Amino acid sequence: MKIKSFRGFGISAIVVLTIAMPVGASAQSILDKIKQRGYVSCGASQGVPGLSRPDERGAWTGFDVETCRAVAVAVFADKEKARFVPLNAAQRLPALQTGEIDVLSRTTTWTFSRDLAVRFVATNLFDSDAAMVRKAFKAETFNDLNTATVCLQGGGSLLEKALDEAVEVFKIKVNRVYFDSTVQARDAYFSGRCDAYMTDGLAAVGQRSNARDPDQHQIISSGLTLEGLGVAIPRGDDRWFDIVRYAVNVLIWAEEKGITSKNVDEIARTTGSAEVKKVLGLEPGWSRNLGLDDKWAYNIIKQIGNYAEVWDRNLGKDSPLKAERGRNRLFKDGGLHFPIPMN
Amino acid sequence: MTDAASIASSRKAGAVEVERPPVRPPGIISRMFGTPLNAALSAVFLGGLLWILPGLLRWLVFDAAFLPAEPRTCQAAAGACWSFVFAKSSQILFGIYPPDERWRPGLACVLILVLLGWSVRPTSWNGRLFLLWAATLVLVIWIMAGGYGLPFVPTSSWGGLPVTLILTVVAIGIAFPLSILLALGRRSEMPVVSVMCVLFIETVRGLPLLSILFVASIMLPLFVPEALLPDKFVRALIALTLFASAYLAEVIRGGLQAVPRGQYEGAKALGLGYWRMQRLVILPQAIRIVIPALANTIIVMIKNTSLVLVVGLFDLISSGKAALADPAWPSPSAETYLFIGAIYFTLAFSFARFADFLERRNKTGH
Amino acid sequence: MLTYARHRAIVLQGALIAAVSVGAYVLVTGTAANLSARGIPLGFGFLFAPANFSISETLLPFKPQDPNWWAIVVGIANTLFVSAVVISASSILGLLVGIGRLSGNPLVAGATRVWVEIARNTPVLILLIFVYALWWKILPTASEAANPLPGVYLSMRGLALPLVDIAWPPALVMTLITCAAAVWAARGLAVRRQEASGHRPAYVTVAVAASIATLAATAVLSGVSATVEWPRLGRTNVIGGLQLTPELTTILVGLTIYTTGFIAEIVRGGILAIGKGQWEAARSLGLTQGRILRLVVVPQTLRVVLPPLTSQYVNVVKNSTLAIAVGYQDFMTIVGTIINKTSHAVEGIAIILGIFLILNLLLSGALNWVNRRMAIVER
Repeated sequence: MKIKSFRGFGISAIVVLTIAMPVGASAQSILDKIKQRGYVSCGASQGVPGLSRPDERGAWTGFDVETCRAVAVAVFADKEKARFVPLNAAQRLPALQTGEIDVLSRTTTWTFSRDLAVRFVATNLFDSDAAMVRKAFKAETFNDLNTATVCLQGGGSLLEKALDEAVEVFKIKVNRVYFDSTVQARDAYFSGRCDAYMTDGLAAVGQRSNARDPDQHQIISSGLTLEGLGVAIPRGDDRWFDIVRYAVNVLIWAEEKGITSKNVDEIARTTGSAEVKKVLGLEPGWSRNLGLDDKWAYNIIKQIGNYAEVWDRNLGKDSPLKAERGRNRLFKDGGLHFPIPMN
Repeated sequence: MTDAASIASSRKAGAVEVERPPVRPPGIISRMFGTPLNAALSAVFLGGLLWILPGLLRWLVFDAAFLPAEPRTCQAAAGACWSFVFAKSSQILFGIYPPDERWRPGLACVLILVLLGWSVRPTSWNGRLFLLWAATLVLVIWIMAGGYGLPFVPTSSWGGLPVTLILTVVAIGIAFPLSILLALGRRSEMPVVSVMCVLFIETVRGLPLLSILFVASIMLPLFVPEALLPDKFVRALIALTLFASAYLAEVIRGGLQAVPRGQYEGAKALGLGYWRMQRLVILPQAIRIVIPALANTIIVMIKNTSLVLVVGLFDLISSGKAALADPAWPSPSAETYLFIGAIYFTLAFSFARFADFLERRNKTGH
Repeated sequence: MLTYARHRAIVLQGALIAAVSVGAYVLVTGTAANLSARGIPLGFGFLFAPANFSISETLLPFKPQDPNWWAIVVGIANTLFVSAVVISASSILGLLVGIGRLSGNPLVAGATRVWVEIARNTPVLILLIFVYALWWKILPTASEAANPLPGVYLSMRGLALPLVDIAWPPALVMTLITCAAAVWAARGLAVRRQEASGHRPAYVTVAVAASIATLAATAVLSGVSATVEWPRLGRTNVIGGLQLTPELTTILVGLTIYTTGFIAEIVRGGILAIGKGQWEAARSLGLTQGRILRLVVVPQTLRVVLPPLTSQYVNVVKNSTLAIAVGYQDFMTIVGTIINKTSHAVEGIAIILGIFLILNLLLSGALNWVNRRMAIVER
């Protein structure tokens, strides 16, 4: 008659083991957590050329990817100590909120309501909406998109809002087709499902080259939106906020000072500027309050380069995309970026 | 009722066909055009075939781009762009695994597939096979993850076919014993045990796998502290295992119900305890009865691994999507998904044929 | 001995309850602590805020100013619509394909076998994406839309049909209900006569014919008016009429192809499970092959196949969550959008899980009820 007891014991043991795992809140700081873990966890897209995608060698590349690598360099002095988590539009904010990722740099527009849910740190790119249309469709402005069918990524992206706004302002009617990912929306457009494909302006240039006939497509903009694509972190950790903000800032700062990955050693030797000397790690203890090594900024410039180098490599003249830098130039060159002084 | 029906829904009731009296089969022409209905049906099907086939062949073969595996061959071709699949096959098959180390996932796939092939032979079914599997899986994990001489590759860099194979084999391997416990628990005379098992089984079966994976990927960090948080691969594995165990449990319960009462009574009369009775008498019969349904569930599980792209794992589909984002190429999505579909089809179809073989073998064994 | 065993069982079950409660308690408090530590507020107030997004295709009316909860209802309607159509279509097709699998005609048996194998051995996600990609390969662009019948346009922008808008006068509605009742009554009478005399009178045919005549007369007399909106060719789109988009069509066709494969195998198994004696007895009564199927085999098969069909139907509802892969916005996609816009991930996922559980439990509950009724009739 031991039968039942035995059976009960076996089953309850299993249930107890699977359910009663110890649970509790962790009060650890993000930096400590990352150091313990050994890498920075970055949110990435599921594949947008020039911004974030794994190449055929399996390495993550793109502007957003390198932005996050800069943070990894600041913490570990090694740009390979970043791991990327591909996320769709609906998953990216929850992933940050739950601590699944430490840094989100994935064409995420900085908005009020998002900033209350996560913490935006810096704008790494400025962008406007764009629509790719066939030249044969003969659209010069969004006005000409009346009665058009438009493919775009859904899931609450800012593009949806931009399209809704354009519809209101230009008093046009469009049919919308929403997709889970940009790749699918783009392919549907290329196949002829839609007259226009809406995307971020930066991504549009890169995606045009995926067409069988890239010359047959043009990119137009509504001119209604200017978005700051932000780098975001979880809320409630000021130390981590500082690290990410200044890791991104160093890229712009270095361009302003004319420091590149090639000449950083030379400048460190020859410069007379106290600010430059300090940031390049020649003033011991200058970033003790950040909890980082003195060489962190030097390492970013040495391993990643400055903003212009990252741009050229991923989006600009050295990439297949050959995008115009436009608003993403420094303020002194007519763009919108300017560094926070590092003194 | 459920059990009888799940048996009735069996993949292939070959035995019934075998039992038919040996009549000389009519010629193929008379079978196709013997009656007016058959003639009409044949005409419709032949017409459809003639209508679809030429265009399909043109697209698949004659107008397609094959070699060299360069973007320009694709731009020139009117048909399918297979050169893209050739150029990207390594990326699609192995995801973002470091390219210099891609022999490792290749070897891992070969190991698993060879062992699967080996396990098909009934002569190799014994206790040693179980040990062989355990050893192979440890070996596969070592080959994939590295350490002890091989460069370390984190699970976040795993991708493609090995992920599909490892997830399927391990999830089913763990889910199977779990599902037996759940099925026994559901039939238990202890109300608490049976209610809990019912709750678990019906909850999991009522939810889409997509939502379970969503919870595993996004919500788990809220429930579990960082230190205990398994990585994404393990999370997907847990989600798939729970999902599989609920489905397998129902299949096995069907088998348990189909075992005649006399078997239980006989086993008890022999003085066997509960576990020994289940292990030696009831379960072997129950599982044999539900082999077709088990095979179906396992095929569904193979196919279900295609959903782990939701948790951000680079399975075949998300690797394919990543390959399609390459700006240097036009984007031949239909060809890519056809290639991936063919891989899944090959896996699932061969397993289905194996299941047929098992079923026939069991039928004739009686 | 017996009481001892019962004792043990009670103690063990108590321990099980305690362990599960402790586990649940730790889980809930830990989650609450995690939520507050990360500054994630909980609450369902967001449901009443304006949605501020558009949905491309809806069954119920929706505009961006509507609240989030209405968006969720619209999404549930989209999911239910897809599920209902797929379940009906694949049941009928599954029956035909299942019978076709057993056909002596090698062409029919071969073609249906290919269908079943493809459906059963390919992941549904890939099948959907592939069916969607086929649209572009096969169909012409909208400006060269196929126009097989006047007012019918088929292109890669979808299928456009004339939209017939009938104003229903109350008299017509009343007549329709009366006629339906009459046909039903005629059927009842016919069945009773058949049981009494063994001969079945053609009451139903007569009743249907009479009903159609009455309806036509009422329609003319009550002055029913129908306006037809004809689709026409725009610049790059077909405009107006009843439009069936490629996305909706793909999810319907793709899921139907998939589910049909499974239902066909269930049907085939069910037919094979019918004893050979049934066939032989029916044949000896001189019934033709078609009538044997219709009168003897299918009714019995239905009873055998209902339980496995139940789980296939539940699977349809679950598989409809893959709709977004082909650009159709189902319930889960819409909740995902709301999560992205409002950042209420925990509540959103709770809603997803809750609604799916309710839907599927209702569905399987209803089918189990049908199953029990049929099982009793059998005895």
